[in-house]
Amino acid sequence: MSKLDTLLMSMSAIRSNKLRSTLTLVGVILGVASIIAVMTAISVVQKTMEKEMSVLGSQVFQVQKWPAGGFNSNEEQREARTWPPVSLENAQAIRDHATTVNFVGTELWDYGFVLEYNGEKTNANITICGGSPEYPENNTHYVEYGRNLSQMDMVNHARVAVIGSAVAEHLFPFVDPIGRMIRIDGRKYEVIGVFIAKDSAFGGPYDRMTLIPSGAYTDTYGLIDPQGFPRSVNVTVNVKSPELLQDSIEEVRQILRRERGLKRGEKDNFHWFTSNSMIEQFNQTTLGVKIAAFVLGTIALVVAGIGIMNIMLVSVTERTKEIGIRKSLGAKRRNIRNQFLLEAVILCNIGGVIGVLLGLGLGNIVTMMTSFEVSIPVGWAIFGMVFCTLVGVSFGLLPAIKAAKLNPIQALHFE
Amino acid sequence: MKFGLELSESFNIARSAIMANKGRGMLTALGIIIGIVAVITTMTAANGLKNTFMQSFSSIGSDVLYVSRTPWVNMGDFMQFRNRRNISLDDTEKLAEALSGRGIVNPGINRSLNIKYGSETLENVNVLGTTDKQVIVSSITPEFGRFLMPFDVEYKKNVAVLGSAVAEALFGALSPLDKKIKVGRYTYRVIGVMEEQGGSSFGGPNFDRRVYVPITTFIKTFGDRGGRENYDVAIKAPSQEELADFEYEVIGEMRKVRNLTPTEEDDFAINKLDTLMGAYNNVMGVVLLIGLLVTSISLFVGGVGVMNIMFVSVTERTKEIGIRKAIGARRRSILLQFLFESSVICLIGGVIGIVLAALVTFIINAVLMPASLSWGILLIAVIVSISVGVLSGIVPAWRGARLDPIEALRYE
Repeated sequence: MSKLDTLLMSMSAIRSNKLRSTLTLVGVILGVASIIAVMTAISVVQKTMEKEMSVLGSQVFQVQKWPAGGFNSNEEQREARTWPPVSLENAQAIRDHATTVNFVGTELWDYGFVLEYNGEKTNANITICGGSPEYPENNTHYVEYGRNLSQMDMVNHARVAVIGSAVAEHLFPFVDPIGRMIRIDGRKYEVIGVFIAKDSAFGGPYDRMTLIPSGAYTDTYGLIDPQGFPRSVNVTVNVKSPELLQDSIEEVRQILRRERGLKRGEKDNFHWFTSNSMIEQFNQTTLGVKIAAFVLGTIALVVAGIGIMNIMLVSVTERTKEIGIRKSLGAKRRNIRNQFLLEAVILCNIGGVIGVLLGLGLGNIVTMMTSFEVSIPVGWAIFGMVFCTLVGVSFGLLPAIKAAKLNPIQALHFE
Repeated sequence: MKFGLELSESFNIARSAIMANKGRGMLTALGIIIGIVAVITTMTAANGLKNTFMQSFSSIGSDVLYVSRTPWVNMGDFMQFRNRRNISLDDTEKLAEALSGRGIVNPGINRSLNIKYGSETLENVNVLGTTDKQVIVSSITPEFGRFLMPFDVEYKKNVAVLGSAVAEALFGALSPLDKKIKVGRYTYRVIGVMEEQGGSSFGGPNFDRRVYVPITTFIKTFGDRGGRENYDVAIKAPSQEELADFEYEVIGEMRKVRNLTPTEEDDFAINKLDTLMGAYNNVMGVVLLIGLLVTSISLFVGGVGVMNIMFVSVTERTKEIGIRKAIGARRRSILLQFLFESSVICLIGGVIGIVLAALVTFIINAVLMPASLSWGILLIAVIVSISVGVLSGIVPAWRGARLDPIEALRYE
């Protein structure tokens, strides 16, 4: 008896009991769909977050006093409070001594400013960056038209500003902003450039930010923030090549440790991060959610598997006589076993395909309502199919063995 | 009378049908058991999380308002608060004066410092400069020794009361009373140890890892940068009922203290336990909903399994149905017979599920967090399992009841 015959036989058994097969399928479909839907939804959020967090270029890392990202403990925050600020001098030391570094940018950030042009005011939600000409390159946030800050602006502490796209849209709906005088917090600045729009699903500050030279910033706002803490500089370091990233981090660490007077054995009193290190941190925090979702989803699939086993047992009992006849005509145990096992596996795989498709659709529903990107986690889809086959084999095995073991004489007797 | 007989007859037939196919019944019930365990455990786990959360904040009295620079819970743009003025010591004194006789006002300032005793060092402990009124606005009281007294505050005494976790870590089994510890660079004498509050294991603040010192001594030793440091104020309302009115009063007085004109927005925030609980319930409500949705899918799948088996059962007994109908059984009694069968299977599954879930809850309670099964949850579980039985049994039962006796008798 060929393998094809076994397959055809299993198929016809499934077809002949449409209602029963459908109900069994429903269980598998729901089980698979729930796992895939949750995993898809998580991967949608994850993809979006990863994009959000890939602000720094692949050969850039950032040094700052405060721990990066939103996933650190209060302990870390409290600890950082006692550290001295990262200063502009620290950044200069990196420029002077580091050999693996292309260029070094500095950023002083502050929030909640009002910009004004010709009587038109923005809300008090504009972020100001007192930065350097390296800002666009290191943050992959480029100038769309006009020009970037120049070294000249830096030396002169020039009152010039590169404005974010949303700011430009708000203040200059009909005119070219370049060369116009705006007021930031009441003080006059000349607009020299406009940043390219950088869409951000979580409403990041990019389109609402404005870049001015760090000198102009410290001239106006001083080196102490409104809470009385010394302002700390975010230093963005652009490394000569992505391969040198780790080496460069180590080099810069040592320069800063010397510069900040740390003794051997003392802990670093600054933080550094790359886009990747932030993504890793995020993945660690979502790991628990993933495991929980997986366990809960698996439960439904196990219940579906039990349903399959139950129905297969019924099916074996119903077809006892048929098994007896086949055996007396020379069918081997293996043939009978494979026939029933195949029936279970086919059922599970049909359910699996429908379930995976349903799950992918459900998981992406969120993306239709938000600006999140559609995500199709191929890995999970394959996993769903493999898992289904596994469920089919493990829950179909017992009934199949039971059928294979039947004594042909007794089976023929069975009424 | 006749209906009663019919009921008991249907029940007996259902029972014997289940008994005749024990293996099948058990497998069917197993699906329901797993579903019920999953659903109940989700509910008790959510319950346990909530208990833990409540416990970790239990020292914040429900009738106490906290005036701070920023709100505790903020879902929107955090940056809008960045440029707010700090609440100065001066502000807290003016507020206390304005509210005198109506609410008990307790200013506080905190900082993270290292605590040292002998060779033991505890890093980054929350040191709270406060007054004797702390024990009135918070419900944690000293277990040993005494709390700060008015004269400690008045005379800027270098005395400290330790949170239970700090005492445990530095002194172990020894008595900390009257011992000299270093708070930052300064020497303080321990005068008391607070009772344990617990419940901080899930990200809440750990009020046990805290040291209380007089606010005046705090300013003397650690400084408050000339009064520019940010203070918090806890205010106990005259009574729980007056809390809402009192809040408006506090807002009004605080606006006066901060010299705000009528058109300006508040540049401070009023915090209370309610806002915290509200935010928690918002977040946990969604989590619980998703959890229940996912787990009830497994219950639903179990129900589909029951329906499938009931169809098999009806088909297998077509001939029996034909005979019963031929000798006068009504549709109703056939219907009842199969409904009983499915409901009994589900009920048995439900009961076993509840027992297992109780076991799981017991384990969670022992090793993880204070979770408990409530009667409400049990009742829901029983009702749900019976409903699953009825819902998944109704279609097959109806199909059996509608069989034409002649066709049924002919069935082979």
